[in-house]
Amino acid sequence: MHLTKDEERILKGEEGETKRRAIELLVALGDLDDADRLVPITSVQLSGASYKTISDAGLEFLQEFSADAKVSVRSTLNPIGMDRETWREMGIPEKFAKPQNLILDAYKKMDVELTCTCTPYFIGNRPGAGDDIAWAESSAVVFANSVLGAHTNKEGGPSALAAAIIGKTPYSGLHISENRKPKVAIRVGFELTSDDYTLLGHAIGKKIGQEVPLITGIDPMEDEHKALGAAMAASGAASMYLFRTNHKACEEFDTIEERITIEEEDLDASRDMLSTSNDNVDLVALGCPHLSVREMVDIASFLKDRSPSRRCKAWFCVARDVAKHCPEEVRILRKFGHVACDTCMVVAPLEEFSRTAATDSAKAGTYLPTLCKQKVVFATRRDLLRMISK
Amino acid sequence: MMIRTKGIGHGRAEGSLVVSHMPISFLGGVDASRGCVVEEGSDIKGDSFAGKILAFPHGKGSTVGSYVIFQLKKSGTAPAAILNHKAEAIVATGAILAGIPMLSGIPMEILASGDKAIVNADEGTIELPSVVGKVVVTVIARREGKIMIMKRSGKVSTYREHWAGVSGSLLPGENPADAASRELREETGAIVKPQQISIQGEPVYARDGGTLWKVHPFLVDLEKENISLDWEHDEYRWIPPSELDRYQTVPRLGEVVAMLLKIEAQSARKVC
Repeated sequence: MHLTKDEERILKGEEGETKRRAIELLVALGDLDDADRLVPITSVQLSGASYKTISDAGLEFLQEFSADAKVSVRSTLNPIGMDRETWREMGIPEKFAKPQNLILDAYKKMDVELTCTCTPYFIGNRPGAGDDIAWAESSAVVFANSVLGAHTNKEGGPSALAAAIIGKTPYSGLHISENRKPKVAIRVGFELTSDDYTLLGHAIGKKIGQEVPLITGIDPMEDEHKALGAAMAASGAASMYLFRTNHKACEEFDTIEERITIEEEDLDASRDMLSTSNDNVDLVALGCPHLSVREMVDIASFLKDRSPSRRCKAWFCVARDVAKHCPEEVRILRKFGHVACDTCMVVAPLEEFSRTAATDSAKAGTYLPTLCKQKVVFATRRDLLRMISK
Repeated sequence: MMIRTKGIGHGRAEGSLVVSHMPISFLGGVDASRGCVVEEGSDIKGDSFAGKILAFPHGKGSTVGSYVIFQLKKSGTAPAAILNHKAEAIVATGAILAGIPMLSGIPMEILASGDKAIVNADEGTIELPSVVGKVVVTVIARREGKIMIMKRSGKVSTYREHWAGVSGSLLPGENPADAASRELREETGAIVKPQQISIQGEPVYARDGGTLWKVHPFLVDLEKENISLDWEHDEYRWIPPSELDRYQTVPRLGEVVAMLLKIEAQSARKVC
C-alpha cells in the first residue's frame, strides 16, 4: 500500500502509540483487501457500544485506546444496552449499567457523539452522494450506500474507530465505483405493502452473497428502504443494493451475471422462518432499526384513540434526538409502553426479563433467538399495535 | 529452514507451535482465562496456547472475537504469535490491537505441533530451525487421458516401493521447469523442453518428520507409451487418474494430480 509522508510518520509512532496502532490496523486490513492507499473520510458510525456485545474485553480495549487519542472526523455511536435515563424501570440490572456507562465514558473521552442510535442519518450524520465514509452497523451501511449514495464498506467496531482516529479508511471494495455495479438482478413481480419490505430484504439476503443486487419493480419510501436494507444485511452479506421501478432497468448494466425472481412464496417462506413461537408475548418491540419521526407519528395516530391492553410490555426503540422532535407522540406512546432511547431489543439484555418477543423486523427476528435467547412472534406493525391496545 | 510470506502488524516471537487444522472462533470458541480452544470438535481442544505460537487456517465467527484476542493479551494468556493460512479481518484486527505478531500465507500442512519457530512479522518470515527443507519437482506425464506412475526402487534413499511421478531435487541454481525437463529425460528417456511443459502448478508442501518437501508440480503430455526406466524405479504403469487412490504413493501425490488437472480445466474454459 502506498502511504503519504504523514501516514508513514504516524505509522512510526511519532503521533503516539494509539494513532500508530490505529493506522497499523487500517494498513493491515487494507492489505487484506488489496487497497493501494488510504482515502480521507467525512463521517464515521461506530459499532461496539453495548456492554452486552463487547463485554469486558471490549471495555478494556476502549479504555486503553481512549487514553491518548481522539476522533478526527464526525463520529456517531451505535445503540447501547440500555436507556441512559430510564434503565432501572426497563429492568436493567446495576451490574450491567455500570460497565455500560464506562464504555460511554471511553467514547466520550475520544470525542465520539453519544448518539446511541443505528439511524445516524435521521439525526444529522447524513453524508451525501459520493462521500467516502467509514460506517459500521450493517443496516446503516446499506442505507448509506443504497439510499444516500455515500461510499462505505461494512466496517467492524475497531476498524471504524481506527478510521475515525486517523480520518481515513482503506480505498477498497465499495469505495471504488467499479465495485458498486450490480452483479445480480432481482425482479419483484408483485405489489408490496410497507410491512413486506423487511421480508423482501430477508428473502433477498438469503439468496445472494456479497454482490450488489439491482432490485427492479420497487419504489420504496425512506422507511421502507430502512427496513429492506437492515433485513438484507442481517440474513445475508449484502452491503448495498440498487433499485429501479422499471424491470427494463436491467438493460442499463452489462455487469449482471445472474437473474433471480422473488415470488410472494419467498416472502411467506421468510415469514415462516422468522416466526418461532405462538406463545404469549412478553415484549412487543418496535423500532429495528430505530423509528423515524414519520413512524412515530403513524404509531401515535393509530394508538391515540385506543387504550392500553396491558397484556405485555412494549418498547418503542428510537434515537433520543428523534424522540425530542416529537414530544406529543412520545406522550401518547408512553401510555402503552416504554419509549426506549439509546438502545434496542437486540443489544439490550432482554433475556433478563423476556422469553418471547414480538417484532415486525426481519433483522430483529434474525438476531433475537441467538443474541437474546427469545422465541419470536413475527407480525405486521398493525398487529403488534393491536396486541398492546384495545 | 526459513519461509518468507506476508507479515501483519509487527514484532518478533519465538516459541513452540500449537497447530490446528480447523478455523477458530475467538468469541465462544476460546477460554480467555486459560488461553485454550474450548470448541467441541477442535483438534487442539484444551491445549494451552498461552506464550506459544498458535497456527490455524483462518478465523471464523463474530467480529467481537477481535476484542477477545485483545483480552487474551491483557490476561497474559495470549499466543506469542499467530500464523494463518488466509488471514481475515477478525483475527488480523485482534492481533494488531493486542500487538501480537502475525503471519498470513502459511499452509498448515508444513507445520507440526511442538516445532520450534521464530516469527518475524516485520520481515514476514518464519524460521523452523529443526526442520530441513528440500525442494523437488514432480512431473505427471499424461497420454490419452491416462497418467504415468512409477514404483520407486529399493536403491533410492526415500519412499522406497512407493508409487510416484517423475521426481527429483533441484540442482543448485536450477529453476524448477529446467529440473522437470532434466528429471523426465533421466528417469524416462523422454525429451520435453521446459517450454513444452503443459501446466505448472503452485508449489505444494508435504511435511514428513523433520523434513519439509516443497514440491513444484508439472503436467506434460507424452506421445510415446514406452519409456526407459533408470535405477530409481522398478516399474511403471499408465492409469486413469481416478485409480490413483488404489496405490501406496508418496505424500500428497493425489492432490498434486487433482490440482494440475483442475488448472488445465480452468484454463481450457477461459479459452472458450
